[in-house]
Amino acid sequence: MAPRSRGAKRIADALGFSTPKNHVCLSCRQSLALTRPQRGYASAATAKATVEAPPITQLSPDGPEASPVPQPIFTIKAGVVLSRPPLITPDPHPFETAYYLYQRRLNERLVLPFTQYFYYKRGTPAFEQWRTKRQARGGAATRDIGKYNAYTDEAWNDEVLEGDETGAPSKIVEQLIADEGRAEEFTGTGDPKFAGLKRRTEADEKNDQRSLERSLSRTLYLLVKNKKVAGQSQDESDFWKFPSGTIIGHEGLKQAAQRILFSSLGENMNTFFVGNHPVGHYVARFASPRPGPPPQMTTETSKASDSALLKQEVAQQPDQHPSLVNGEKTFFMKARIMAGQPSLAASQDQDIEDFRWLSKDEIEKAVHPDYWVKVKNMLATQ
Amino acid sequence: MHASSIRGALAQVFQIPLRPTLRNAAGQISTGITTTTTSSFSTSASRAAKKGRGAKPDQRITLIRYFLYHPTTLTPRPLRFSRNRYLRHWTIHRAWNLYRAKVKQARQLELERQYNAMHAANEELRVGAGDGGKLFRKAQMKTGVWSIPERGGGVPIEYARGLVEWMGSTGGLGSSGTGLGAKAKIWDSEWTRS
Repeated sequence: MAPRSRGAKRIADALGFSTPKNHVCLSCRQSLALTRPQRGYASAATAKATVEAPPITQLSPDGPEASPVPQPIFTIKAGVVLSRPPLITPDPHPFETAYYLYQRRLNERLVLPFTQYFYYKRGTPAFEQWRTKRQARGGAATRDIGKYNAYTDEAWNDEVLEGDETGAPSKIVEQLIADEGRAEEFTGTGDPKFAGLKRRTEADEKNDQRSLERSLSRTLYLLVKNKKVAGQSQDESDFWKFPSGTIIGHEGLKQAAQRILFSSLGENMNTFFVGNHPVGHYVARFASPRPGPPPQMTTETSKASDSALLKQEVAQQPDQHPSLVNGEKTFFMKARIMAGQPSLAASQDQDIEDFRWLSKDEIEKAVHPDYWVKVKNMLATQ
Repeated sequence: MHASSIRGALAQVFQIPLRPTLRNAAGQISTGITTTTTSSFSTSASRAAKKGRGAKPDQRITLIRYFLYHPTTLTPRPLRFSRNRYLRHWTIHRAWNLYRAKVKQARQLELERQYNAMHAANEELRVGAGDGGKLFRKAQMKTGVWSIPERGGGVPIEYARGLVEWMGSTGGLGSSGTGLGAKAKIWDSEWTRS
């Protein structure tokens, strides 16, 4: 702007007929005036930083200054969904079993004859054994179709009647083992009829829900029952839950989940955490606000820096730790167990009364109905 | 001579086109060799000639041909169904397809449920944890997820344990003892973090 025009503007300002921002309304002008000073930003930011930096465990969702209406305050917890993958194949549906036998017999009707003299030399003991067993089977070379021969006049009759056990896997295995005649080498303490092969274990028979050798065809999840704490309602101590605990300091969900699992159930578990993000969550709203958990200090020396930070924060903002919380939000981390077992004796916290390994449909009966609705979608059926 | 007559008879019975025998092929090769080489130190041909036999075809090849070729009149074998039997077969086939579709759909729905639960949890962590999404950002870090186990990440080798149909009673995973009859462990419960 030229000095001349600036002077003219000044004159016009002095005379009063050129008022800047006359076309801007009063409220906008005030707000513009508020944001005008450039130096205010940095100071405001520093002020904000010092006022805030709240511990992540306890805060209302939108921060303390978001709205005048008090937001519900939640405790943020990390949970562990520790599961043992299935170790054996699922039990076949009866229709599957019947269908497979039907298809095997159809195949027997279609395939070319077994070339026995190619595999067994005539006149040898092996050939004699083979021929005897084949005759006992009704002439069929295949050992898993029962008494059926596709080369006789009865070849059309390849369908078994309802309730027939020919196609059952246990029957077939039993017959194969009897055929082989070496059962005692492998039986051990098991059933000699099956050469010790089993799909149900002693833990299944005793329904030992602490054992990981139970329900081998299902995914088993670790559930715990917490010890009764004074002030808790009956519901909370009576029902089973996934292990969970409050997040401490600056740790992420995965570290928190690992710490909670190992501190509450011992370190003798070979676990693998699948990914860093939660697979499910559970939001509990208390009927009435109740005192939140005190900011815990970690006892481990490795967490010294974290706990020091936390102490600092607590010292700086004692009023940022609300005494009352309206509920809790638990975020579940998925983990697999590869070896080992939880143990109550090895636990550091001693806050767990009992643990169980349960499949999905058993969880439904053990947990609170509201809890079940929230957690059922993240669990695997098989 | 004897072998070739057997082959001829078999070829007639099983309707296989008679192929050049190994003896013929070998004879051709050997004649070719003898025409090109003039070495007098090769003893095998003269020895075989002395015995009056010549190169015999390998008996095993003859047997494999005999047993693995089947008469074309019987391949494929006829599968004849009566009308009712065919209808039953069709019903079974339809039932199987329906069953498989149901199983597949159940699996798909379960995956969807799990995905939606994960999505809802992450969304809640992003907007509802009250820390401005700090926990969420930490949870989305993929550091070490696809690493190798020696570097403190990745998928452990124990994941390679496959499903089996039957659990054995001897041997196997960490058997507690040696020799036959030692009790097999299904689960290594005594594992300790060293």
